[in-house]
Formats: sequence, structure tokens, C-alpha cells
Amino acid sequence: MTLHTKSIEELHELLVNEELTVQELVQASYDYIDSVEEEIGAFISMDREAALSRAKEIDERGIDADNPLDGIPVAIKDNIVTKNGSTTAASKMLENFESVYDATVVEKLKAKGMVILGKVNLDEFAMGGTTETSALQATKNPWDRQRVPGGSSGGSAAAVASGMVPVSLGTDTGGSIRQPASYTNLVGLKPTYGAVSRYGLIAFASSLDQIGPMTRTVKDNALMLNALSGLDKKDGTSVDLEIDFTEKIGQDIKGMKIALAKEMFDPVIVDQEVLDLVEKAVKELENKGAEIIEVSLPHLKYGVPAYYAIATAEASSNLQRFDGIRYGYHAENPENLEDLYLRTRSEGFGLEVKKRIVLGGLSLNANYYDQLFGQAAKVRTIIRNEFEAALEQADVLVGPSATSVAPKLNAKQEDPVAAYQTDILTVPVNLAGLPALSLPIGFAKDLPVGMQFIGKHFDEATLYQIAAAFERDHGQQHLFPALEGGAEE
Amino acid sequence: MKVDKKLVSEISSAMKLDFSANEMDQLVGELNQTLDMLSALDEVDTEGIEATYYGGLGEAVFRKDEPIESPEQVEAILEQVRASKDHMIEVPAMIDDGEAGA
Repeated sequence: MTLHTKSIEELHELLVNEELTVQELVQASYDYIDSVEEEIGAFISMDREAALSRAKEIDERGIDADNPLDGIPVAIKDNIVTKNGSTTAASKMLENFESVYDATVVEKLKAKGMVILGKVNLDEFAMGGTTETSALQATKNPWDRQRVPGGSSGGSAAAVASGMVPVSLGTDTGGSIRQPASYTNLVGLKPTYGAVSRYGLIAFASSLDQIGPMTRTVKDNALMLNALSGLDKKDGTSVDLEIDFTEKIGQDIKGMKIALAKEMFDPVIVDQEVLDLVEKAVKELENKGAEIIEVSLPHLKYGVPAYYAIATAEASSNLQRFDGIRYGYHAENPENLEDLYLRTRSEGFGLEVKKRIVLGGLSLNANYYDQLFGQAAKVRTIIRNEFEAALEQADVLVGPSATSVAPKLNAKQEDPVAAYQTDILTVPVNLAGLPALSLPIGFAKDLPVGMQFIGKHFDEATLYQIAAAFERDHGQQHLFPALEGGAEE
Repeated sequence: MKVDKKLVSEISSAMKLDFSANEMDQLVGELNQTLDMLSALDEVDTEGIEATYYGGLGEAVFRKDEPIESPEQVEAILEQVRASKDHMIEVPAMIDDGEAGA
């Protein structure tokens, strides 16, 4: 039986029908990981003993047929803390750090019976769009090992896309779930800000960060969001939600309004082959009865500068805690406290992280605050208002998830500022706090392309409804990359 | 807006970061490129616009300020620290006055 190509739903059925035990599933997962991981490099750490022990417990108590996540393996992005094992944020600063608690999302998944196979790679402290700033290892795109998996949730994406796990958790501050999902043929959701607790997520930019699921199917993604979402007293920004996000999957989309923002379809910003696929997908949605309308987001282009002024400012504050005293890396034989701080932080952080901290410090500096952070926060209001106005006219906004297919490894290092500009389609959504889903819609140059669905606050159910309608006729979820140790489906 | 080595050094110092001479040259160059990009914000008329600082829709959520004791967590935390003594986290001297400790 080929297990690594199965969705959560399919695996659940096998477990309930006793065609498979959780221990067999977990062992088979690790066997498969061993056969392909050397090519991919997704996992930073794994605890096989703990996972198999957990699997045994679940087998002994019996699978809960009403709980679709029971016994299902999952990978966790390594900026989400887990007890009993390391959480590194892919940084030398936390290379040997062991958390004393589980993040709320980890507690929730454990309560649902999920089995954590390991922690996966990311850009250092989630700062990047290729996973190349990881201080620990390189991760390759399973579809083309000369290319990046995207970032910062590159390890999360690679682990699912290659079939090592059916689901992983990623995080999205400026596109870090949606863009790697687009690059690797996955369904990736950035939830509405506040839908999922951030307690236990190593903070990058606290007004933008969200944790979300990366899966191969729309239904799997919605099942995960049901488990992850809801009020958490330990996160004052989390919201009390009583929503079944799977409810609208399977419903007709006839008469629904889909808005296209012309600024997202600019061939100066987005590669033509990506636009061609998105426009073809939009046509298909129209053929299913959706009404397509055009809207404008005139301030979309200011999203990237606003984002970098705000995100780096928040990051510079959040990363102050890494001082070598309470946890993490510390410089040896400091002369005094100042020396400890300076050398710990200079030696512990990578260059991209340090650059962003300095930019953030500049953004918040009294002499530049009004021009940078202050102005960016006002531009954020304008962007948010434009999105909300557009969504008053439609059920969803649709456009490309990324400006291109996955670039080659080392390509972006040549022009770091140009790299920031490729976030233009994703960062405005974080600034507005809205939910957005990336859905695979086809291939260009044999590489996956994703389409982004942006919804109203807490209306992820509508995103899933429309995405599922497209997915039904396409079968992208059944396509797998050919890997040396793996089976092609 | 442009930055120079002096300003970047001051900001870096405030952020408790040190850079080698080569790194500083590269950093100044890249920061200036990034600030060129950020200067686009000057084009936007934000007169009368209120800033958005918060990611969500709601208002601040308050809770009672009641301590919750987790002694087992305290022990686990102390295992992580660089140095500890008598259940307290030990830090290097803030000011070196020639004697051990401040």
C-alpha cells in the first residue's frame, strides 16, 4: 500500500477500517522519510521514539472514527515551540534550545490525536522567502531540486509536497505559507488574524504573524483549521470562534461574486505564464456560474514598503529577548553585560536577521519614526480599507499567489531588495489581517503555480467552498514529484 | 532618505549588534537600497488617516492579574540559563569597577 500519497481523509478511513494501525502508519512515514530526506532536507529534528510511543498509545485506546485527525502524522515548523525536543527557529541563536512548554496549536493537535513526526526547516526566525537563510541546513523543492521550496515555511512545504507527511504547520507573516504552497503544489492557508492562537509561536511581527496548515487537499486544510482555531486565554489577540470551516465544501458557487484586482494582474509584476494559468482558472470558475467583477486596489504597490517598515520594527522589538541570559546561545567569557549582549547577538543571529533588526531600529528611531513606521502604519489603514471596500462588492478576491514559479537556489541572494518586491501579492493581506488561501491550479515550465483566494475576516469557509469547487475538476492533489527513493503516482 | 556608516553604527549599537568592516559596508549599501524602496511611502497622502497598529478587528482583552504558580516550569527554565545561583539568574557585571560583580 502506498501511504505517502494519501490525504488525511484517506488515511483516516484506512485507520478506522483497521486496514492500517497508527504504528504502521508512523513507521511507514519514517521509512519513506529515510528514503527521500537526503534529497530534500525538510526536517531539522525528529523524535522517532516519542512518535512511535504515541502511536502505540493511540492504537491501544482505539481510533476515534469521529475524529478525522486521530493518529495522523504531522510536521511542525521549527519556530513553533514543542516540549521534549528542540525548537531552533533555524538559528544558531536557538540551536540547542528546548522549550519548557508546547505552543497552544501543538497542544490542540496532540489533543486531537495527531502524531508529531518532527520539526521542519524555515528561513531563520521566519525572515525570508526561500528558506535559504536557515543557519542549519538547505531545503530543496521536491518538484525540482535545483530550486527553492519557497519560504519561510519551506521545510513545511517540502515535507508535504514530497509525501513525507500529509500535513504540516507553517507560519505566515508576509506570505510565508501561501508562496511556498504555490511553489510546491499545496493548499496553504493564512488564517484571519486572531483565528489561530500565536501562543508558542516565536514572534517575528506580532501584528502580522499567523500559524496555518499546509496540506494537499482543500478538505484536509479545513479539517486542520477546525482543530487549530479558537479562543486562547494565553493569546489576547485570539478570537472566540464557533465555525465549522468544512461546512461549505461541496456547495455550488453559482452566483458567487469573484473580484479581480487589476493591480494583481500586472505583467510587469507577475510572470506571464503565471497570469495565463490564473486567468484560465478564473474562466473555469466563471463557467461554474460565478460572476467575475473587476475592482481596483490602487495602493497595493505600497504594501511592500509599508510591510518592511512595520515588520522589521516589530521584529527588532521581538528579538530583543535573545540576549544570552535566559536561554539560547551565549557568547563565552563576556567581560561584562554589554559584551555579553553584543557578542551573543552578533554571533547568534544570521546576516539577514541582523539587517532586519537594524532596519527596524531605524524605522522606530525618533528622527525617522514619522517618515517610516508612522507613515507605514497610516498606509496600512488605507490598504486595509481598500481591501474591505473591494470585498464589500464580492465574496472573494482572487489573483496569483506568487509573482513567478519557484526560483533557482541562490538566485535571490544576488539582489536582496528585488527579492522583497516579490512579496507584493501577499504582504497586503497580512497588513489587512484578512484570510487567504493558496490553491494549486496547474504547472508552468513543469513547476507548480498557485492561485490566491482572499476573503472577508473569518470567512475561510467561503475560501474553502470556492477552492474545493475548482479542485473537484482538477486533481492537482494527486500529482507528486518523482523522487529517487519515492514512488511517483 | 540615506544612511551612512555613522548612523548605522549608532542604530546597531542600540540594537546590540556588532558588524565587521566588510559587513558594515554591505549593510550600509543594502539599507540604502531598501530605504529607496521605502521612500515610496512618501508618495501617499495620509492626511487625516489614523494609523493601524493592531492586526485584528477587536479591542484589547483584559484578564485579572493573578499569578499562576508552575514550580516545575521554574526548574526547567533554570536549566536553560547561562548561569544561576540560589534560584536566581546570574548576569555578568553591568559596570566593571575592578571587582567581581557591580
